[in-house]
Amino acid sequence: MAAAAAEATTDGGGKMIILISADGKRFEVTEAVASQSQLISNMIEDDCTENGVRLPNVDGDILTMVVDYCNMHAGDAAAAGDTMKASSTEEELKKFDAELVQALENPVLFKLILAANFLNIKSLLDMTCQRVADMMSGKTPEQMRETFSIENDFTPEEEAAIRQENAWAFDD
Amino acid sequence: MASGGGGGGGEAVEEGTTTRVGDLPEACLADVIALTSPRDACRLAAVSPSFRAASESDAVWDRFLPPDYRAIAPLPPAAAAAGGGKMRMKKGVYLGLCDKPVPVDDGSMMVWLEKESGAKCFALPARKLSLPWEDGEFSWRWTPHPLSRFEEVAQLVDCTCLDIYGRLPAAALTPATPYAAYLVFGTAAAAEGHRGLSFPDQETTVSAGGRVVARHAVCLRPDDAEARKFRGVGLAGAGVPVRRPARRGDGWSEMELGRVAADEVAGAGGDDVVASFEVLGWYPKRGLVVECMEFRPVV
Repeated sequence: MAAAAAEATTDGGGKMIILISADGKRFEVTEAVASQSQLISNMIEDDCTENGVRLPNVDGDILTMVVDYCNMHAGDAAAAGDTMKASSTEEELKKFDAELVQALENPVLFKLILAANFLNIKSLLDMTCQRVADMMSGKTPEQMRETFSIENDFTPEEEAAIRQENAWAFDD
Repeated sequence: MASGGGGGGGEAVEEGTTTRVGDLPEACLADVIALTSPRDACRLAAVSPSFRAASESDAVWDRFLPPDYRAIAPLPPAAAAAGGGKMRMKKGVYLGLCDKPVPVDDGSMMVWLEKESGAKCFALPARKLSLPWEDGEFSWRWTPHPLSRFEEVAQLVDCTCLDIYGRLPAAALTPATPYAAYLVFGTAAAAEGHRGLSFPDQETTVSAGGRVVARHAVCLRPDDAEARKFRGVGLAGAGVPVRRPARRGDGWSEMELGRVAADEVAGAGGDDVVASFEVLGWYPKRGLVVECMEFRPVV
């Protein structure tokens, strides 16, 4: 196989892929790491990753997190055969995941969701969506607007009608 | 550039271009809302127009509905035909199934959804229960009842031993949900009266896959005066705390028969969950009116 500039070979044996963020930062990762993104996995299958993968709507700082996440989780499949190893990594992964999303400011969290959505990394999307869902749970509309800095575009009449329509959800 | 991309490629985030929840595509926002609860989703509709659109989308309510809901509630053809309304149909289906029990299996059972969780609730009419001596007209009278959701209820005319069983396949229950079973009952009108239902020597059980998981001492018609009479003739049973019935909004009373945990339901596999009510003492009883047995999620 012809080795292009962006396709070095690691000790693990997998090909390397270069990811390029919106602000031009370059990340070199193995195919196994990158293919957790369904988008990139499809590109690998179509053989169009030779000159690096440009991700024009993912910033460098977000891509750093995504790459970290994918590096951590690339072991999932490999470790599956080894029960002892799998159980210990599972605990580490849980801790890593929890720390990753808990610490994020809202704007960064939303960017991470957009990136996970664009790159189609289901587990990362599920995890980040769950974090937002946890922030929404049990809040009143006022608290939700405050938490997420949302403008209320409803007229008072419209809002009253919607509350009336969903009255059961407000009676506690 | 897709929404929320945050600038072409130079200095990334500045004031005013901060990524917000509103920058998420509606499908993403719907994914998020589907991870909350039906109550949260209804409240979210009042936050803003874009939240309303996402929170009322079928993508969200499809996740709250049980996977087999079409067997309970076929989509109304009128709604399906109404182009624009099509995307917001399932919230209505969900709320409809919460408010109104639907007959299934040729009316032999009623099913509805518990509003907070979307878990399925079941009512087995008296006809679907196992009653003692139900083969003749001597023990039970089958009769319509103005308060009943079913065509007929069973009124106890006379018997000495009384045990009632209701069963449901464990697989029918909503997964990962603890359930409680209830006997929904009343007593005969004053003219006919009731007898033998006041002494606290009544026992309920719930079993899953043949294993008893709950057992309780209960009393359907607590009546201290009558209980004393029984005690006078030497029947034991005092001293144990007994459960009492609760009045329902629909005029019936209900007695909780016991609870079954989610893992106990799962452990029953292809077997049944069975709930029972039994009066241990052999003495004349009459006047019990059995409407149904209900299986509802514990909230």
